[in-house]
Amino acid sequence: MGDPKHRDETGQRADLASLRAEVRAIERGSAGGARIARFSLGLPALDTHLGGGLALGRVHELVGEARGELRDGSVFGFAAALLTRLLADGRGGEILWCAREANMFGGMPYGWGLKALGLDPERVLFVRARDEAERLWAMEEGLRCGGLAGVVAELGSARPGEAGRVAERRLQLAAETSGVTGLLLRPLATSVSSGAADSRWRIAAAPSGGTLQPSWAISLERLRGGQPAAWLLRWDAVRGRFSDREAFSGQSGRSPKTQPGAERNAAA
Amino acid sequence: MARRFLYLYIPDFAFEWRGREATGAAGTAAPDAPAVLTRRLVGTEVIAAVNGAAALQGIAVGRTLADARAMMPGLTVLEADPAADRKRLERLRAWCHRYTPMVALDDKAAPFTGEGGSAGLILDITGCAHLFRQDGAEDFATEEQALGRDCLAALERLGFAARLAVADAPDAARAVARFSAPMLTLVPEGKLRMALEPLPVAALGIAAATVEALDRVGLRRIAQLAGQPRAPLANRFGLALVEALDRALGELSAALDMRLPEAPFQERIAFAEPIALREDLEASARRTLGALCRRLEREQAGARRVRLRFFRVDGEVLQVSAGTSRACRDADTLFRLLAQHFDKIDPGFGIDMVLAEMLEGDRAAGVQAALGSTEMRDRDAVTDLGDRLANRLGADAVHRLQPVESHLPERAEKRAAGRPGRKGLTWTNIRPPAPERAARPVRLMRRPEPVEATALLPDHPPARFRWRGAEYRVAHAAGPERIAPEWWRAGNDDAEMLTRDYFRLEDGEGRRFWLYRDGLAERGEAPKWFLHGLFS
Repeated sequence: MGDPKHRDETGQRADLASLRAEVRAIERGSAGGARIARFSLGLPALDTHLGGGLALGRVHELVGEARGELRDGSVFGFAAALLTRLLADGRGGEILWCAREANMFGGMPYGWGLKALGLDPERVLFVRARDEAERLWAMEEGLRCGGLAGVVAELGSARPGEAGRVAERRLQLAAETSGVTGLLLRPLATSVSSGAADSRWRIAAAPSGGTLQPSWAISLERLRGGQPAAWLLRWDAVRGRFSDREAFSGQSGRSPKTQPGAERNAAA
Repeated sequence: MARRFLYLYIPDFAFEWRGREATGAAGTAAPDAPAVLTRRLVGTEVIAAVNGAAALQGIAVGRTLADARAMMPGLTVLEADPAADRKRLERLRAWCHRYTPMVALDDKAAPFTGEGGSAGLILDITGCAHLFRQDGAEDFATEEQALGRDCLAALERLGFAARLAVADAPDAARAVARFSAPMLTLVPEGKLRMALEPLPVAALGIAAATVEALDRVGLRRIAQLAGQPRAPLANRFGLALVEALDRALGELSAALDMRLPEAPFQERIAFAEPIALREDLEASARRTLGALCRRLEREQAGARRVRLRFFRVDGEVLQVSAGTSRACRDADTLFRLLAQHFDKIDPGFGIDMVLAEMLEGDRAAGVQAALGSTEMRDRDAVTDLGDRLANRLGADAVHRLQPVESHLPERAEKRAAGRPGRKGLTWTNIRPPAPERAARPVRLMRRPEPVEATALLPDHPPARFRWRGAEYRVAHAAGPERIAPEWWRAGNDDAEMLTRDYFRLEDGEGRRFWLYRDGLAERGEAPKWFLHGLFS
């Protein structure tokens, strides 16, 4: 494993690492029988930590920093970047974007902005739904449609109740059946999630060092069969892949870093 | 084959539907009690319509209510409401679609002033009668008789006493239905003259003055008129009389407003026992759609818009419809689109007929065969998904973004319903923006939002700004990118638009925004700041 977390000299830790890898393998096996197909994020350190990339045919959760509403473009941009990778390395096809009409803070997806990031707006079908239930319904319909590559749904700040948790498990099931990848975008207040998603990422904007290029402070809070971790990432729109922030090279010891406070392996 | 028309005449329509609504059940109103409808005319209640029983008592339309009360103390008096009558009539018309898609209201009802509460409907049943064929019946007339009997019985269940006539011309059917006694008269093909001759001239639907004028010269029956040379008739009594005569005899075709576009593809299924269970509704919908799609297949056509209609035993007709982006003849797909709306189908006491129709379609073109590349299949699957979403969430809820040649950020794209056509601008064939104009936010505000911003110098980017209650300190800025109003477009919106200077701003925490200053500082215009988008 290239994971620096386990780059320890003592045999005891090495044993523990191999044990963990074994558990991880078992968990992955139970999820799909065979190896899960993944798409690369274009940054080796990231892909290695994820076990070869982000899982296809699963639902992933992207959580913002703001409470109540997403007040900046970081989560939307990160989602668009992931989708660009999905179309490039995962499976081709189209994207269904379930947008939130009432999102006063976040505006609406802008085609020229998506194109600037590398996501071809030609391949995105947008749907606007009045409420969360309709958005979840639309997302599930999308996840059942084998012709799509991915589905994004912007969710509000309401805490998912029991109905929401059931809905999320249904989403996960639909994604596993069709192989379509789902992204759930939500503000911070709902970060208490059902645990049904395959991974949960917390996304915050990060200073670009004056270039004004897309940059994020990413913390992987939860990964099925994997470890929490955090990175500072930049988006290379020309090559269409994530990269390390060189501006943070001085802090490379912390990148990738672990978050001691974050929940440990949550793949229970 | 000649065209065949059924005239459906309900003499006491206005009274019967009111009676039914008052008692809540069909056929239990007292139909034999004299009743009138009245309306106010210059402070006096005047009789607007009478039912059959009242007419027998000599109560006529146009008299005052006081007169009528004097003649007939126990008279039932109801208030006339032409709008409600019209609404009921439209519902009856919808109900009539169980027999044929071509149903017209008889607007000629007006000359029959003695029966203001009556209703007349003209059904073009050409080629429809065989649907009511009884076992063993080969005869055309028997089929029409079966249809007529079915219609009379069904109307009786709804509480209407009707008289029907079938003939080659609508005017003839009307004359026979209104002016002869039998409940059901079938005028055989080509025998119009024989059927019309014994009827009074008023059956032609001509003005009362003309009837009187004819009466004065002793012309009372159609037989007497039909033998007369036309030219002198027209000279003396007007062209309208001759035209009415020719229409009735089928020598001049009448223009009818059948309202509904002809739906050439329709399939029905009727039940002897009404159904009410959701599963039964779904099963019958599947069956009719299946039959419809098999016909489309045979005819090499595909549906773009389909409708299911459920005929309730109480005469209501409930309907759901759905559209598809590409011609389709797959019953499962159509069923899925329509089934989303089944929640609003209230079967009430039961549904006795289900009708599936294609409202719009394409011939052959655009119907995808099952074979095709994976990419084509995926595209079709996504198109179907879009249809499913649009049918449930509304047509304007689903869209794609299409680029537009414009410098204005909010005008540089538009929402489009489907994939761009071959000639349309696409994100690949549109001229890419110059590099310095390529930086665009991932989210755009629907309307630029005013912010309080402070800049160190009038033409500098802001040092800090306040947006929706939060304060942002600017750490980095890029710009300005100057965007001038598109003065060559004579849009009203642009009349007040000023030149905008856009800045990309990053605050201390790395959040990136797109702000602009409205108005040029060097021209002394008071600068106002707006937030227009969010960068990732």
